[in-house]
Amino acid sequence: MAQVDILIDGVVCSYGSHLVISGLSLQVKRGDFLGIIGPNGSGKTTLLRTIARVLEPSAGRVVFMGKDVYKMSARELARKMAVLGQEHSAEYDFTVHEVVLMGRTPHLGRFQGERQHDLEVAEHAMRVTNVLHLKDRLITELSGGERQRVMIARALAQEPEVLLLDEPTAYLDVGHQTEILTIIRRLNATSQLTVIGVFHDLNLASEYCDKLVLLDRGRIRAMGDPFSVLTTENISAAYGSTAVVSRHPFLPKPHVLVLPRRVERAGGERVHLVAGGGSGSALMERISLRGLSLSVGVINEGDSDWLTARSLGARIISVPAFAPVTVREAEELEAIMIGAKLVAVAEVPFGHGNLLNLRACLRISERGIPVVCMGDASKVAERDYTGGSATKLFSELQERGTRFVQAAEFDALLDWIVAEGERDAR
Amino acid sequence: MKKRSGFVLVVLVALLAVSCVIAVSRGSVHIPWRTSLLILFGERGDWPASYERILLGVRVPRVLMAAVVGGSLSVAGVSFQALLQNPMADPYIIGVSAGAALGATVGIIGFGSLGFKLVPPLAFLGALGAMTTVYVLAKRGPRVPVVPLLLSGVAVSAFLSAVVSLLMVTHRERLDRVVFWLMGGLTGASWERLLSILPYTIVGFCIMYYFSKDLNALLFGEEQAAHLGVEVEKVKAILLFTSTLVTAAAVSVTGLIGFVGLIVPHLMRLLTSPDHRILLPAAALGGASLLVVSDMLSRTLLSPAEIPVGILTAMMGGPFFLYLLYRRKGGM
Repeated sequence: MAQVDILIDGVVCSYGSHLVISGLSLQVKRGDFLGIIGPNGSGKTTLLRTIARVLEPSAGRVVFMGKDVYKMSARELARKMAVLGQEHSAEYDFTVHEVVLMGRTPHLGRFQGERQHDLEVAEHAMRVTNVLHLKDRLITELSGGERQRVMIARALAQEPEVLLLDEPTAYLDVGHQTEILTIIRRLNATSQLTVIGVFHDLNLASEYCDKLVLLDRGRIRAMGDPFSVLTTENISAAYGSTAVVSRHPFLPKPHVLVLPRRVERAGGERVHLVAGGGSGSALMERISLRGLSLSVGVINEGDSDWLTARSLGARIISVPAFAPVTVREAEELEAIMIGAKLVAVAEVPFGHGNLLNLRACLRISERGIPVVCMGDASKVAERDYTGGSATKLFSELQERGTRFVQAAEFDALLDWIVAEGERDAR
Repeated sequence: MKKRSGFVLVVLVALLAVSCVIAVSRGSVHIPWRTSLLILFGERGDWPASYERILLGVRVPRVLMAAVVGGSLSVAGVSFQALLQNPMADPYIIGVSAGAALGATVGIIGFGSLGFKLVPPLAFLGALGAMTTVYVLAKRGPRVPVVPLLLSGVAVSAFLSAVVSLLMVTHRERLDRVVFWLMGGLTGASWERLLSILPYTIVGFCIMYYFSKDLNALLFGEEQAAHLGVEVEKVKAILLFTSTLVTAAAVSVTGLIGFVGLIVPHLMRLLTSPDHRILLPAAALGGASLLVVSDMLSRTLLSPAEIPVGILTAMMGGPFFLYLLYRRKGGM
């Protein structure tokens, strides 16, 4: 039976009149690895400090192994709970060994020196965190990653049953981030150490935690395994950002990609892009960055350009993967293209499946919609897999005034559309 | 590190002993140090009878008082620096000096010849009053955060110093005595005064030592200390008052001797360890030696005139401190 280690029961916290946590309840079981995530000001760190007996809640209780944390002495709690904070400024010349031994303080009497047992616990802690070789070095001489490993060793020397993490890797590079969290994850797995951590980085939280709590304005928005918490809807509601959630390439964990916030423009000028196979991703970003609306198609579902277009919230005309474009989509495509300020054709290979896109371009260019093609006219044949039909259509397009442009010129065109739109708006 | 620290402590004890013997021997009447030792050990010999009177009645209390005051200011400095997590902290930082100065000034100006007796208690009360005011002003609910403590310390000190200055300009006839007190010195030393401050120093040191592990944890910040099981606010309140009492007692009999409480803690951290279990005794011994030697020089350098001892502590401690600091930097 899983034992409840920490019970947070209707906790309310406020700084002055500002309510930071409003009636939050939560249970943490022994051996859990719980991640607290949420935007700035959502109350994550406040919640952690409340659990750590630093910030007494104005209402509610924090119960740790059956006892109210705020009725325990600091010493009693420190024997069972350790806290690892963000990077520490080390200004005083303690040796690594001395710092780690400080973790034994709550187990020792006032005038009691360290016993053999304490030295062994400290040594074990240093071995687990791979700082034993630094034992006699001064803490002030270490790098950030080394120092943080020493602080884990100190926390472990407390022989805690619960370890609280307050963004312990905030100031570390990616290599050290994974190193620190892997050490903690291993301790959690091998010695039933309960871990509760605040994370800013959603992917670190997803990767290392078994359970997540998503806080939003002092309340729990979602709680559960990473897949159920890290959803596009939850992230959008809590952070106000669009995110694409996919599966981690190697782990059974969700992977979050938060997208740049789009600059919405009032005018709503739209650019249509014919793309596929990744040929249009960079163009889509450039269009989207300028606040222009984007439509893409016809494109196969699951294509990398299709993913990009979807993540940018573009209008998409799609056909199932590997299916050819039919007349029905071609008609829909023409209708959409007619409403665009510009139609661009990315450097996409043309086969019989997507040749209809090029036909549609030809027809709308006859109706006066400007069409540009990316790349070099002379190299069109290299991506023509239709036995010359595509090349022929390209030359017909050129006869009707379509130009082949490079990236810089394309950008200039986009800027011109933006400027036109702004002039019209005025 | 541990072994070296033990060695340094032994050296400091020896240094203090030697300083004391030399200091009691030197002065307007020079007594050979062998004779001094014999007198101190209660031997009798064919030296002038005045030697014993000078030594036991005048020099020994003065030297011992220098040692006690130097040690007091240094351990108070150690404690303030850890409590306030501020390397610039000294025993005077939260209003003690200004409060004592006001008390002493009132004693000197207001009570005429009685002043000599009244200055120490008034200075002591002034120091305690100022520190209590600062503490109350900085209190936020159950907590006493460091920054408000430092800021109200600055504000209260400024206000009280202004009052002292005002009293000085309106009572020019006693200006000399006030200034002399402000610069500090051991001229008023006596067995009686020594015994009146000794309990504060001894008890204060024991209380600080009792909390030495907590002070170690506090060097990593208050929250870190709390996570290691330190009752931060309780420890802070106890030690702030203890350190203030120790400082106030010292200041009440010697006036404001600067620099010792700021520099000796740093000096001892460089020489031994930031671990308060070693640092506190080291600072007590080092501070005592520094003030004993400084006081001896203040009496003898320009004899018969006396240089205020604060000038000498700064002139000797400053360069030595810089030397240690730069030697360490170069070595890194």
